[in-house]
Amino acid sequence: MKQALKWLGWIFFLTVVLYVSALFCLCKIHYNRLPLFYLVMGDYAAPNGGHTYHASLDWSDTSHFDVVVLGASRAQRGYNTAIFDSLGIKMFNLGSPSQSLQNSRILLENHIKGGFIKEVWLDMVPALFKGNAFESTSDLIQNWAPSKTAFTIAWESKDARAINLWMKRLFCSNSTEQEGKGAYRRNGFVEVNASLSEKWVKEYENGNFGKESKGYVTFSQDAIDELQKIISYCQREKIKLKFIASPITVFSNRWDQMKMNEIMEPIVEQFQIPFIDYSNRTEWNTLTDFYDEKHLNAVGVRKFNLDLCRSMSSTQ
Amino acid sequence: MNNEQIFEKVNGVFRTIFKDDTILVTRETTAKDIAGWDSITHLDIITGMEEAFQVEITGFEVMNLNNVGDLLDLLAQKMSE
Amino acid sequence: MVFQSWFYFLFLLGLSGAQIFLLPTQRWILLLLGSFFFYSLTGWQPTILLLFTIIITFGSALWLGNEKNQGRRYKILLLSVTAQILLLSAFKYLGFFNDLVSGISHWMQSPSWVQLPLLMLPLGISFYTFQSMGYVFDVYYNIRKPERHFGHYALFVSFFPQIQSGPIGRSKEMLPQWKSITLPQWEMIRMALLLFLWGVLKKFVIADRLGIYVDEVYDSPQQFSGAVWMLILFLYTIQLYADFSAYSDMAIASAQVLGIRIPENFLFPYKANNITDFWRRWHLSLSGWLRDYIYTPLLFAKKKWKKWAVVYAIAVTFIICGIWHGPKMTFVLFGIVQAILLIFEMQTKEWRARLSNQLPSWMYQSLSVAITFVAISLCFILFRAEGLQQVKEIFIQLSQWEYSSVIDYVREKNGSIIIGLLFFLGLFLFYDEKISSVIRNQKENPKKLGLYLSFMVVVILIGMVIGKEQFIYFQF
Repeated sequence: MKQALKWLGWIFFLTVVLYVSALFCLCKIHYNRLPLFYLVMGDYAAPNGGHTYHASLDWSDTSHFDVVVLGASRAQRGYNTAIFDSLGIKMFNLGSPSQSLQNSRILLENHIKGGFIKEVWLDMVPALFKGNAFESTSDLIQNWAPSKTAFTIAWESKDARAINLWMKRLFCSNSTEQEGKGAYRRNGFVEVNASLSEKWVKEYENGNFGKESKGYVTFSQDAIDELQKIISYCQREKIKLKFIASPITVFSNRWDQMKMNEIMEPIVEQFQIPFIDYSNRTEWNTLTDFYDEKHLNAVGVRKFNLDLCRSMSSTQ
Repeated sequence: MNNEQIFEKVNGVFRTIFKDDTILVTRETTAKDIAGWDSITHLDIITGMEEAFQVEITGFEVMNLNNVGDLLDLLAQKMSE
Repeated sequence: MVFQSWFYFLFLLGLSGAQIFLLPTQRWILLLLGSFFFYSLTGWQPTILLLFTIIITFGSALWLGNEKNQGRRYKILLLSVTAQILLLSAFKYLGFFNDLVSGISHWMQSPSWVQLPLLMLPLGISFYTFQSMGYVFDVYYNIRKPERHFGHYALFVSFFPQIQSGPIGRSKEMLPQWKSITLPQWEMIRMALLLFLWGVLKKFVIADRLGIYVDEVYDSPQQFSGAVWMLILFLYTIQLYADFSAYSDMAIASAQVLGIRIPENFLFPYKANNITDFWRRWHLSLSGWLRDYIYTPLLFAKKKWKKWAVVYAIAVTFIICGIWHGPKMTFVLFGIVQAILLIFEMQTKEWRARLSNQLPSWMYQSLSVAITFVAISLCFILFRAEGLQQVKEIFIQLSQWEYSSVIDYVREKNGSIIIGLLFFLGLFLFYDEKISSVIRNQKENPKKLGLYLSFMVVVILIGMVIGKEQFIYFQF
């Protein structure tokens, strides 16, 4: 028995040493201007830094804000904090690419307290209900400045590769260089000032939309559970929670949208949470207000935010 | 026919089939031990034994032969009948 | 329950721990309970079916044991084997039957006849059917006496490390082990741990990574030229071996931890210098089963045909081998192609021997291994392709050969990944034997073993890809 324990101890020690050294080498040795790490790990290892990093540096747990926005890339690029500021709503945008409900919940629990934040707006898209795929954790694990939160996100994803990504932080440097799409503006908002890309213009002109016969998202119970946790947390902290479905293009899958609304209905009913649904509004034109099949461009965001603000104040 | 005579004859058949006069099988010899022992030669070995000893070896019996020793025992049993 | 999950790990640990409290002669009970628990997770219907197979074969064997009349014994065997084949066919080959029916009605231009509803394939049915059928054959051929202990027999058929995808065990090796089970020594447990991890590495780091490239090309065959296709075929050949041998290693390791020995399934197949040799190294438990229960009886039943008996036996055996893999024409074709290749090798034996004498031995060796590898890679298309239509497409693509396209492909895939992969593969192909022998050597220096283990864990942590949960051979 003692022999076995000694041997296992020896292995544990060796494994840690080898693991850390391997990651160190992978991060420090470059190929094609990128650390080897990315080539081994594949697509999900995005370069460090970028918009999410910038946002996490600007964020402070003790600053007062009227609204914090959570959600995926559509949230990050869809809620212009400058516009809301000018209309009297002090906002911070904590959206990040592929942010899942689990990630949102962890950010909420670690950084958003009732005494400092009045409202949380969750940007709702069907893809949120896919459950916590590993891809959705990669941006936050690598680029969210507070290490403890990033580690929680990695740990809760229950995927060994998430730990690799977190370890990478130790060896690869961060920079706020804007490598991702769009430009970082203020308090987390990322603005994309582009018109609809050629590819989607072509698809539009060929009429390649609205023809799907079924949805593509598999709605998972885990995701719904996470939503419940978000709701409970907001209730406890006495933070007002609002769901917002931002404008969509003709390319969005109607079935997935319907399914999401179906799932949301009873929850909204039970907890009396405002659900502001822009998905069936016709004022947003795919050709002028979006830069790809999912995301509003600067023009579309402006229209959306002004309209949202107006409807908020009218219901207040 | 005693066991030694059986053994001599069996070894003789092996030598003829493999065209090698130096072959000396033992009770433990199996297909792995002689180069070139495959299905065809396996077939030839059995039919060769049948001719040499004027007996019939059924498929049933072949299933139970694991090595040359089993073959010797089988032949000894047939010879005493 | 997948092998590579925490649940399985705990299950295995729990079982082996609990064995300490039982006497060696009682431990089989725990294993039987564990196996049925394991299998019941797939549903009560498959479990009933398993029980049914166990009872039928147990009964047939006892009956065979009591019956002296050869003619009647043959009838009993026929009954038992037919029942098992019908059962297997009902689940596995119904799709085949449906295709046939719709094919005929299409040809006759009449409305489609009744299509039988497809049933879900129970886990491991191809494997446990063959395992229990082998036992009945053993009793019929008087290789062993019928097992009188129902519990021991039930465990033989249902033993959980083997039931999913083999290795197919023989009654002669397995049944005696249940009588008294000795718990493994520390060295053996250590070895099992290493073997299991090696399986995890082969599956998640090698097989699944290769799968990414292979899947992409198989999903859109027409987009890739012949040269790229050839590369992908080689990668698939390695993926299949890594995947299946990984499963087998995990199965062997699991059994070891419980004090049981199950047969090896592979013997470095890609070192084979011809197809005949290949089948002495690939999926040993299946090829051995086919050789002993199909090939040998057929061969000696027709021994008067001499050379033609061999041709006949090979043809029938390999067609059955093809069909066993699944209800697709591609698998049947696979069997036929193997038979043709083997018969060809048989006919050209002397010619090839003369050739080997004329060439320097290293040249002849390397050519043989290379040609065999290419032939096998081409045959494995039949394993991976969707159907005969896709096979045709692939061969058309293969005829459009441009060497430059491979360079483009490699560059597009970020040159270093593919190069790194190929390097790793090279290591794998040549050192698999060395690694295998090190892992299996109980007397190896513990510090060295510890180093290998840590190294493997790190490679797994950094290199693993989670794509497919399932092993390729699960579908059989």
